[in-house]
Amino acid sequence: MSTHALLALCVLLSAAAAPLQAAAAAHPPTATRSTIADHYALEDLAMPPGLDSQVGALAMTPSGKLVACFHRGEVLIYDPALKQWHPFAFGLHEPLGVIAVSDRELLIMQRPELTRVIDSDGDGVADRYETVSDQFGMTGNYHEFAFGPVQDKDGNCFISLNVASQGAGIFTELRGTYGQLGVSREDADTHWDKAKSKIGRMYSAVPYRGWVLKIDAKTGAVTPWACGFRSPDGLGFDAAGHLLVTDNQGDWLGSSKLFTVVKGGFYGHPASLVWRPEWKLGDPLALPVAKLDELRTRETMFFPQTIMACSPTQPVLDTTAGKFGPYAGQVFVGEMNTARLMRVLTEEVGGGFQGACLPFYDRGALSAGNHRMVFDQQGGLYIGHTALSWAGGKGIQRMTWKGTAPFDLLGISLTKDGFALRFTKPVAAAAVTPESYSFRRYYYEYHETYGCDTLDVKPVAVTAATADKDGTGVALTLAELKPGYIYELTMKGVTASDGEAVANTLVCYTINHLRDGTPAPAQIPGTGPEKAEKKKKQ
Amino acid sequence: MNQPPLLRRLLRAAILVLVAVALHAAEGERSPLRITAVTGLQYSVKRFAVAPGAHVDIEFSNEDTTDMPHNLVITRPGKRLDVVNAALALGADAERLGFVPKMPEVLFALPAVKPHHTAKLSFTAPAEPGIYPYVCTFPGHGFVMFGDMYVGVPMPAEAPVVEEKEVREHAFPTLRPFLYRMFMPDAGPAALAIALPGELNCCWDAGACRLRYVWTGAFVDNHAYWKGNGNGKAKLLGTRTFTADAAAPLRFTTGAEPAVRFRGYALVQGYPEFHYELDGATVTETLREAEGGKALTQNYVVTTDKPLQYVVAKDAAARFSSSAGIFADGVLRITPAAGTAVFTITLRAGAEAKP
Repeated sequence: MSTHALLALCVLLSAAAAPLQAAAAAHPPTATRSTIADHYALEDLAMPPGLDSQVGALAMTPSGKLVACFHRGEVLIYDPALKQWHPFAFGLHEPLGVIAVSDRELLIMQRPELTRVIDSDGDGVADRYETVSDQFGMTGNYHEFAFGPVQDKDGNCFISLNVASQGAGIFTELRGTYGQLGVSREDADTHWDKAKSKIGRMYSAVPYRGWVLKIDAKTGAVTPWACGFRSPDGLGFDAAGHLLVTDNQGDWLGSSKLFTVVKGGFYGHPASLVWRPEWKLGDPLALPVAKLDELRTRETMFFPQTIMACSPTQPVLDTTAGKFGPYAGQVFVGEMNTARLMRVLTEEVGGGFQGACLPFYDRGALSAGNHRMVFDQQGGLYIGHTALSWAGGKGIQRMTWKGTAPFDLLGISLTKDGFALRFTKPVAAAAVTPESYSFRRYYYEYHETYGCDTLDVKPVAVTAATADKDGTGVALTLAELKPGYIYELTMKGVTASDGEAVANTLVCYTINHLRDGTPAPAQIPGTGPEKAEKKKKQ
Repeated sequence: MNQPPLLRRLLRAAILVLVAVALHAAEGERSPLRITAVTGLQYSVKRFAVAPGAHVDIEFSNEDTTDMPHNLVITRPGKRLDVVNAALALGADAERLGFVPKMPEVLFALPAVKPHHTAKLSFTAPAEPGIYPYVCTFPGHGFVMFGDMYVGVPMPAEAPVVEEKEVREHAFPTLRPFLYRMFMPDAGPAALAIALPGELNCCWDAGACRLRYVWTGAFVDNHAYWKGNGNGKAKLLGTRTFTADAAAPLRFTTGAEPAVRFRGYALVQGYPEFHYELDGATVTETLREAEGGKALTQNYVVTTDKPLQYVVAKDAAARFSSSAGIFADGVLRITPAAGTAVFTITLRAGAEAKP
């Protein structure tokens, strides 16, 4: 890594703390000022000198050692008791996911394959690199990252494959059948500048780019599972075992998303559709957006761009049963561009998944580039950072709960006329007023253009706020609920009955269905009120 | 006061000339200053000079191939980080404001410019001389993506770029033999670079399941890949001495390419022992150096009853020999015994002529 980037990181780290101090100073001393940082401690792991410590993957071994995979292909194992790093494996090609099967056996996803890395002679260093599966295509385009594996209760592995970026071409020699519609292999190879305008910003030129695949870790058998992904960096499971996948803002993604993925689903980015076995509709980019919209399964939620996150990463389930604080059974998600960890709260409404995201730990001692996370047996959360030339960080931090209860939103659920909030502690009576909860709503259009502005932004009045018996629940009635919109809640001066201010004030809930089952309407170019207004002005 | 040394006087004069040229350019023509956002969170132009009160046109193009929006915010002298932090604290308003905070420290700004879009910014340069930073205030960008506008003050010549040689590429020593899976030139996307003792190096392709080429001397420079997101291939250091044919050397029949499937590798004393399937037969292929690095050996163990061929590469300078079988017309023919064919090919590359 260059000294330039190192310097940038130092500046990032030092600068990140400044706004927090300013905010703390500006806050009146009436309510006890609280942030999550008051209840959680962070330590930086000392990394071995000479290491480019951009973290691609983390896992805990059964004996409680930390496995970390790095950008330059090293796999190092950290013994927390001795605070020592030990080299386990070398030479992997951008490892971005790992499962520790045992202290001597790892399943690692690297660019070209899912690999079983084994220390067969017990000398602490891997000597067997067995290909579990390389049965997917590669063009050599840098953006074809490969993520996962995560393993379900039955032992099946799931991986995800990025599509390629128009920002670079493809190799002369490919792995897998070239299938890019609209551009011949020769044109893609020899007239890249002309060809790239026809293939979409992100493209799937070889099989299963843009897919989630299920891989039997024993036999290596591959089952194409779901498609429509762009840059699905984060795979994980919720407490009920649903497969969660995050995807990044870009073409066809107005903002970053969380999906609850089921077999056969198409999740919106069209390039990968061509690899559906039954696909007969030709070039997906030539289809009307309405048709693609009809084919797709909606996101469980949006991470509103820059409001909540710029690049969400891995979802990780809190399996600590309370050792990490009040969030047992909930899911945390990392964020690349800023020093933020988030939480996601999902529920099934109207036959589909939807829910909310909110910040968990913001700034403070946390670095940006929050990429990979894993809980250890003591309930500590290791956080691996990376950048890969985008905004981010490097190194590994470990977050632990101090044992004191933060005042935070614990749950949110859509009701027939508003939202039911649940807090970690009883809410002060003064905060059970409509004025304490400010809502606005907006939506993102489903379209090919990169990203999307927040559309049809309107404030939504809170007409009533009532607390439940023990005071930890607050029911809010809203003047209007519209499916297909993100309801962004900002809490104002909400404190607990013990005077502690709420740690996080921002919550973004994506409504796909109302409680009565009303689904979201199509939100594609030409359908929205915002567009209509713009047209009138012209 | 002492007279400044001649060298310093000359330098000062040179700087004044530079400033004069820069000012002239700014005042004379009205062609806009072109600044591009390039991959790696950088502006193409890191500094420029204008006269106080001059009219300035900036044409800002976002050519970041990693598909990120960028902005360009000109701040009061010394206020770059204040503005960057204020942008980070914008919260829900950030997007609407294009990450441009409303504060007196912000003088001029182009809010979010989408990838592959261009925008223009025109303004009158401040009357007060000084160094006015410009910066992208998107989250995480502002700490690395910035430059300086010199208004009526001398702009120093571009600082010489000092190539920082990294002492180590890894935290732990890499002693030959060792390997990288890496994007390699002249190979498929699933390739390996292998460093053997005796300064012998080779590229083995895990897609085609065969040796692609050999080079001698230093190993590889992976920084084109490592420096960023993988948009680059390894650079071969040293000299290419052998290039394999486009067709597979090991095969059962002439004509059609064999169906291969990579199964991984074991490291035996650090040497790679590749495992793959070739038309259904299992193959192990171990690469080692011989004759102090002058030769490469490929030891094959193939589980099969059928006769095998090893087609010698057309590379005229290379010399092949084998521990078993019979060479005829550039083809080595091997007859398996008891269901297994075991043989070692020794490849002596030609003169180090090929670049």
